[in-house]
Amino acid sequence: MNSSSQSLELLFNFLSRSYTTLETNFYKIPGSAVVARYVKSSHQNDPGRTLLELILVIFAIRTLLQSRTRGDQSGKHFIQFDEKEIDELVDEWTPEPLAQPLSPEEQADLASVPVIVGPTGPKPKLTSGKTVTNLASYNFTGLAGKEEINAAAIETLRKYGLGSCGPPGFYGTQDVHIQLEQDIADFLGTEAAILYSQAFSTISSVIPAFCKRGDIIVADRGVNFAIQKGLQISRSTVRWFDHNDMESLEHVLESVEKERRKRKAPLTRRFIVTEGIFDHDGAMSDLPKLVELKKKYKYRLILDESVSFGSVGRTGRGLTELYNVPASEVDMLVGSVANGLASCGGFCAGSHIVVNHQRINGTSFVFSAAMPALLAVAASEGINILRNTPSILSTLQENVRAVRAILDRVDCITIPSHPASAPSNPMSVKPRDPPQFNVELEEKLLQDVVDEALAQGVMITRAKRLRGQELIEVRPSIRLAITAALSRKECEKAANVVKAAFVKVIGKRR
Amino acid sequence: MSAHSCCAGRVAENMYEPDRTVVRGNRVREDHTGVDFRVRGVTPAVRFTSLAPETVSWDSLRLRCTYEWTWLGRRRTLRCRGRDVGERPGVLVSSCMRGLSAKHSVAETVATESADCEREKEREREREREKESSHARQEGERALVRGRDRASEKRSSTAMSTAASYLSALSEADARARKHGGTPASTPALSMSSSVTSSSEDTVLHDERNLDFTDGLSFPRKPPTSEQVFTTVHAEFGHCANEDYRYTSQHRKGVPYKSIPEQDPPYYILLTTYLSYILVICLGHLRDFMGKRFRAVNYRHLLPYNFYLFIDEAHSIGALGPRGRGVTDYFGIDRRQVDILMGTFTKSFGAAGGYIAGSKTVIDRLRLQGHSGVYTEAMTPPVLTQVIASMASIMGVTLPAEKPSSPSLALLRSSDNTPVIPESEVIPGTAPASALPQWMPLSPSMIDGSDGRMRLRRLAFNTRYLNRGLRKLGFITYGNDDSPVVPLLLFNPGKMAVFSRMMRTRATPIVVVVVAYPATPLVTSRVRFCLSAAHTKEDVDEVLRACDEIGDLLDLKQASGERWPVEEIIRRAVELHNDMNALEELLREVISQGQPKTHRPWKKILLIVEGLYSMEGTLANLPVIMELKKKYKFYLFIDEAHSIGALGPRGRGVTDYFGIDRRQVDILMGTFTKSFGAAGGYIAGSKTVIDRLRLQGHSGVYTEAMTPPVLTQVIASMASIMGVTLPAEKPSSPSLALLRSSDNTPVIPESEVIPGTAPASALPQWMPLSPSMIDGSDGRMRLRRLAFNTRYLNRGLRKLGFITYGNDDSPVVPLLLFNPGKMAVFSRMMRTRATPIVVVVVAYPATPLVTSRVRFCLSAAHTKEDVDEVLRACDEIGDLLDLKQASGERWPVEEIIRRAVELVRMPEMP
Repeated sequence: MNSSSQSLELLFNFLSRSYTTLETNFYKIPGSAVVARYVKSSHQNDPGRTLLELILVIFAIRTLLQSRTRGDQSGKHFIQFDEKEIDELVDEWTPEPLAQPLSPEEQADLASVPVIVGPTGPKPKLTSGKTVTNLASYNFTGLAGKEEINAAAIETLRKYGLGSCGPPGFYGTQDVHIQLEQDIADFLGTEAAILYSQAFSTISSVIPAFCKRGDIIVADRGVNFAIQKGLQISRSTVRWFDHNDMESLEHVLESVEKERRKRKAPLTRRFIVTEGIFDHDGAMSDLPKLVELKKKYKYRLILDESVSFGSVGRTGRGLTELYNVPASEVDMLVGSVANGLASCGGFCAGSHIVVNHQRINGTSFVFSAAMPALLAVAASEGINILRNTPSILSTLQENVRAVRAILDRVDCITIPSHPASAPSNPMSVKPRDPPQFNVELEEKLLQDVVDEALAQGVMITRAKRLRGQELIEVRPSIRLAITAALSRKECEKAANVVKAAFVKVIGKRR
Repeated sequence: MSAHSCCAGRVAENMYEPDRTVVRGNRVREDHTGVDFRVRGVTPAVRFTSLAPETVSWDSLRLRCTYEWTWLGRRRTLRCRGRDVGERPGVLVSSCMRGLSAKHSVAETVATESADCEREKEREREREREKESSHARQEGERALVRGRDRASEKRSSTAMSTAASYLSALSEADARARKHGGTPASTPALSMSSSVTSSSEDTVLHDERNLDFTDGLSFPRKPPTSEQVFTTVHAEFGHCANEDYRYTSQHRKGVPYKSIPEQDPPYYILLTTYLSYILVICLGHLRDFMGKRFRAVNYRHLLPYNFYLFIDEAHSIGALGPRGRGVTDYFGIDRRQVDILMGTFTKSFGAAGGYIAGSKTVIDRLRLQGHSGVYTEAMTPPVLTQVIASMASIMGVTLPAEKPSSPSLALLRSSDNTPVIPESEVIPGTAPASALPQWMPLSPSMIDGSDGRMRLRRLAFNTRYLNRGLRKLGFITYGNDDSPVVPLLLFNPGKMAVFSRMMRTRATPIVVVVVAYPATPLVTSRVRFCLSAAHTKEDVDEVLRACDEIGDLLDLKQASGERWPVEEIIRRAVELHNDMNALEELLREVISQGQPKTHRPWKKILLIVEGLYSMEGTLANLPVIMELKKKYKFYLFIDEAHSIGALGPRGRGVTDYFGIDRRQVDILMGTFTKSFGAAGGYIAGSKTVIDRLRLQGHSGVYTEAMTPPVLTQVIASMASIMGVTLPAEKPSSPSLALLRSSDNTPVIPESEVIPGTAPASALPQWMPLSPSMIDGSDGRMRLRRLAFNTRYLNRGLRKLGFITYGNDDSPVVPLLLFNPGKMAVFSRMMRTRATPIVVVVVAYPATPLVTSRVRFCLSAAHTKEDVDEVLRACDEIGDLLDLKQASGERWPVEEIIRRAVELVRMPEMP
């Protein structure tokens, strides 16, 4: 008894001691006196209230803790499965095939691609053993297969080997690349030029190198696929003007300016993007008007001369030579070495600033391996030939006129490309007044025309497009590429074959 | 010349690389693309920049030749002997020897040739002459008009009757080139030289005295034996006949793949790395200090003044506080007492833009004079709708008693009498339904705000769980338990890249942000985990597991206090979970949940990996991926840009390395630019996939076709790796046969994992087929040499004490320099050695800030001596620059060179 009371006393002592230390410590906290006074007074006035507040505090702590510890797994759309169910679902799930097998039409489409045996040129040999007249390849100036070029290329191959084994920035640049860039710049009369190793990725790399989000691009509705990709990658604001319609362009430029003034938006970089000769239909841009408009509204001009470079102008310098506009007026002049010079790759010509900017910012330039040396030399050689023999281009123009003269008389087709008065390549031919605008039917008709012409020894091609991926669905058409490597007689003969094929196939349907 | 150099200078000024001084004016390569090449104005250099394990040059394919060397003391005269190789007579081309021809004299030739190779030589000869004469004319301005002149050149038609005369002509040309002095600008045998005629013999004697042979490039340091010489393949391919210097790049079956853990440098390296930064910072502070005192007008923005409170709630709005109203809500502070509250819509609200909230005076002033009110475009309606909707879902919605006529009008009206919220109420209640677009469906959970609350509570759970979990694991984290941004301190900036990469390369890749100076204080580099209400507890579990493992490896667990093992944390948090890795977990979730909302099953799942990661040299863990693929039926896309032709015992890339049937990989992508020394790339897969691509791929329809020489190069180099099956009978035409064989495509039996050899019909008929190429021993030799070089350099560097990243079998070897100041020095010291070595140095932003590195790209054409030379160079420079920071056993460089074979053959490096 005694011991227990003793121990109790100890306990009480301890309790009172700790209470006093707690109290003194509590009063050491600034403002604690106020709290104590409040609790005391409220307790005196209303003991029930103290109890209530105590319960409230406990409740608050409980809810607080509860909300923090219980994981809330049930998202709005999340379904809880147990492991077994998931396993079943996984077993059940069968993915669609990675690619759908080709339909018979698609197989026929793929099979209809002719394969050339041996070197390509104006008169290649096909797998069937037949030699045909080539109106399908973009070999306008007939540089493909030129002896001089071949010799230079072979020599380069011996000296340099083939691949460059690195992007231009990492020891991939060879002297011949610099040489070709210089040659192109001299040929066009610009300050500098930059070389890309693939024609398709040139323009789709040039546009995003300059145009960023928030910039304004005014582009033609009929631009080619590569430009469309470039516009997409640039993420700029794109305004479209009607295909090859300078009034529409002016209208759009005007409205952009008006809108800017109205919104008091800041000045951003602004670009006009269009093609010299349109890949889709062969129409030609009015370059002087373009330059005038760009100056008036203070835009920069990105001109894709993939088709026109090496096909128009006195010596094939393209639209700038044809219209006698200095190439320096075009801010970024993009061309294709693959089409114009029968080699490979593309270029962008412009001022030093424009070119040097791309050496760091052109994605295709920075990340792609440099083009093989022999192709660069072949292109340089091509430029030399073009420079020294203006007769090539006059032959080309004559041929174009000859073909147009024959095909213009065929009344079941229209030719939207630039009229024969000026040289125009490629010629795009579509059936006039088709039964209805039925893409599949028309493509089939045109394929029949192509097959018929091939049977008669003339190789032509449909203008192939990725249906569903292009910006606008264009009417199917046939594309003729006239070349200077054929004589006028041969061209006329080929045109007559094409004409006969059209009359036979489309006439039969009527 | 002037045109060239000015262009070169222009290119260099563009600063592709951080060390512009190193490459200025010297970037343009003048020579063939092999291993040795000449940088303009500099002596030949061994190239370690190209990704090609070998470059098959045209010459080597057309003209194979063998050499016999005689080593005549100091004179080092080369004695060449033409030999028959295989069925076709060999033709000697002195240009084939790597840089040798400038100093060799032809002693004797054995002329064995047939009519067609005579024609070949005739052409060679013609070219030679053309070049000589055109060069003579062009001395001064050769750059611009070269092509035209050549075209107008009258062709010489001197017929060469024997190989002997051809050869002597070549050597004469070389002798003339030498006599003319200067560095030959091209491959010497074909160099443009003057037209002085002299006897080759005395030119050689004469020039021997002046020439410097110490660079180790013109001649091997050790004279090669004749046996070695006879096995030489071609010009750019270094002599290496020692069969010991071979290795097979292959993953050992049954061994789980694990990458080599990266080492961190000691502190003083980091210290010095930062010293440069500190210097700059000190100068900046000094400038501020002086500026504030002496030019106060310009430094007003740095001077203190009485303040209004401006809270940037970019990270807290919508994430903190019981009602998601941000930090003021969290602390229960009346937000009317804060002068300006700024926040963003980009984070919690998943929209764009931001807001400023404050008193009406402030806002009105801002509307009138703020930049954004006046100049920038207004926010677009969809963005605003997203903001309104997400806010409403957090706030809950008050349904109106009656429908207003038009929502926007009602909104306008309500904004007229702005103070709709009574002054007393600190947190406004729910959003008026009139502020929402009428068409917006209002779910019950949104109206009563339970959806928003659920989100807030999930986020709060995730943040507390991760914060406390990490701390319990023993990591040092900063910040409040309830902060949705969780910084885990790494301190050592070297660990940043490692941590991030290890997280990323786990079976369940976790992407985290690592931040360092200047975003953080200098010493407290950190990983930042940003949590979302959309994370599940399993996600956080996985992060904790990953941190636990990586933390152990990197020694990050430095905090004091009680620690729990990771599984306990996960268990104790809520409940038990299986230990599945996150890719699997992700797949399970994705497959079981299906598409969001509709729960329709996904149509297909495509996993995209890189075979060999080019900056790190690590490999994708394919064995595990393939197992998962079997179970979860996803499609696999492997980018083999860096691994094809370089990895695996048969050079078929990473699938070959791991011994995986590549028919089970759905899409294989690769490039021809690296291993095959050509241009372009390929996609390989089933016929259906390829047909579909032909029809609907962009490149099939719109781009130009590849040119025949490029394709021939690819075919030839592939054939030399594969070996060739000779046909029983000769087909009529090679290309026709090729077309025919493509008709019945499945020539390869399904059972065979690695297709055998290339059909001879695929090769051009004129291509000489040496026996070594037909049986594939040539290709195998190349692959095995590359594998040896790769392993030797990787392990050698590690044994020297350098810190490198990546797998031992990766032909891309990154050597870490850390200090950015050392990059230029390293590159310059390598290039200005007696044997110049060209390397690529890479720094931020291609790598993390601290881990600046050199990238060595190995080739099969390098010999062991070349790699020895690199190791010696690295050893010396590494000592000077204090780069040897790795722990572990070190060997002196000579021991490494002596014990190279042993080093390479070790299964695991200790």
